Amino acid sequence: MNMKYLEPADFGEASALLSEYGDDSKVIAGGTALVLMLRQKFLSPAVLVSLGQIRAQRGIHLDGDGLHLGALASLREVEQSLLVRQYCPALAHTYAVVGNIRIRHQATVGGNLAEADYASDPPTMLLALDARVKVSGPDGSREIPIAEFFLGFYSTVLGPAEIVTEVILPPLPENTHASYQKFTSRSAEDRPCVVSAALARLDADGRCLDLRVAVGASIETPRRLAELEASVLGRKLDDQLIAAIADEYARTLEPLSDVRGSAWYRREMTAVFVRRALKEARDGHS
Amino acid sequence: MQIVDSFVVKASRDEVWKFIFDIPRMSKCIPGIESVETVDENTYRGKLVVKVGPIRSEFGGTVNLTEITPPGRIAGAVDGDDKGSASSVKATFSGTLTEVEGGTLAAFQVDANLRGRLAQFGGPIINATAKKLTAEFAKNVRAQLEHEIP
Repeated sequence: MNMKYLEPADFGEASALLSEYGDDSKVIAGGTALVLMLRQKFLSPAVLVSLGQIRAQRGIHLDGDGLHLGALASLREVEQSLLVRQYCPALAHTYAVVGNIRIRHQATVGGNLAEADYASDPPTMLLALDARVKVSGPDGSREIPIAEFFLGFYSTVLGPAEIVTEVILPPLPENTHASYQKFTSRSAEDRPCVVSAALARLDADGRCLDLRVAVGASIETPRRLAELEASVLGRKLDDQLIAAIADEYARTLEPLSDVRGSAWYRREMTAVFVRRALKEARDGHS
Repeated sequence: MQIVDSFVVKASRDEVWKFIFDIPRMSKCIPGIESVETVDENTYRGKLVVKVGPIRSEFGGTVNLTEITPPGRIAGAVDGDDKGSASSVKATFSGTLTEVEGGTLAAFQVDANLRGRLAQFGGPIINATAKKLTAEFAKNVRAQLEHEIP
């Protein structure tokens, strides 16, 4: 395998290189996904454009519009970040359960999204948090709501020379609690079979002021049922309502079958893990 | 792995049937097709590029028609491989054309067996890719045939 390895100094230069080499090039950040594909000869680009020398977007910071995760921050940095834990402990937990510690040290926030593997943890939690994905390309930068970012298996709205630069998480009001539930069907460090992220803001009587539930890994791209979420506002989030929401997610979503579980099994597990996520998000209040 | 799909073309069944055997024209409608050559009246050899996310595979192989019953049914077998990912595919397929209101319903069923490294991507991804390719093929066929209706 004879490959040119280029190391641009900033995102603009990286996009320019991707434009120049087109289909012959691939962008590489942590490389945890790409190197596997290269080794299996699924890909054989003539040029690898590495983001390894880019200094920008390696950190995590708070800004007026929310919490910013740099695309080049490692998953481990998100997991350990005090800012992330203060913002939403469930988000830190989500990054903490990806693969194993070696993967998390190497894989990046942006790479994880750009790869768009359906059996992944962060996308579902980020969907529940209404994250925006900032990308930059030859025509400048733009922000994409994460709900619109994934198109399907391994496919996103990113243009050929566009690169994810950061993930922006809008501020969460006081008294908002979230939970991330990952179910692995084969081994602890496996990719997920079904995941569920829930976020709840309740009033003093336990009634829903804001409720969001996202499910992923069992379907092509993570999903929320917006109408269902809206329909429970004002209602008390008791066990009965939680069970009804969980059943509705299980009934509505069309799970896929793969080595981690059949569609039938995943449907059952969707109900279980949505229920657990909602209970944990609710009980953060008591 | 089984792939079942169908689409409607606003053209008569005879027109669609004729079109299927107009190999140069029909093959242009197959997304990712690189080349097709006729070996004999029942056998065709071709090259197809399929993209799944970042992965691009190039399958070369033969299609052998085992049943041709005008104007409504064909069946056959496909045998191909992608050298880059050391993967191979063997498949049997059958297709039917049925007259429906406003045109012709083209329905097909493929039983495919994918082996090698690509097989790890599993049924759901391959099925989704097949659905996408079918939708594109249907769009291209419509563009070819439906334009011709005065």
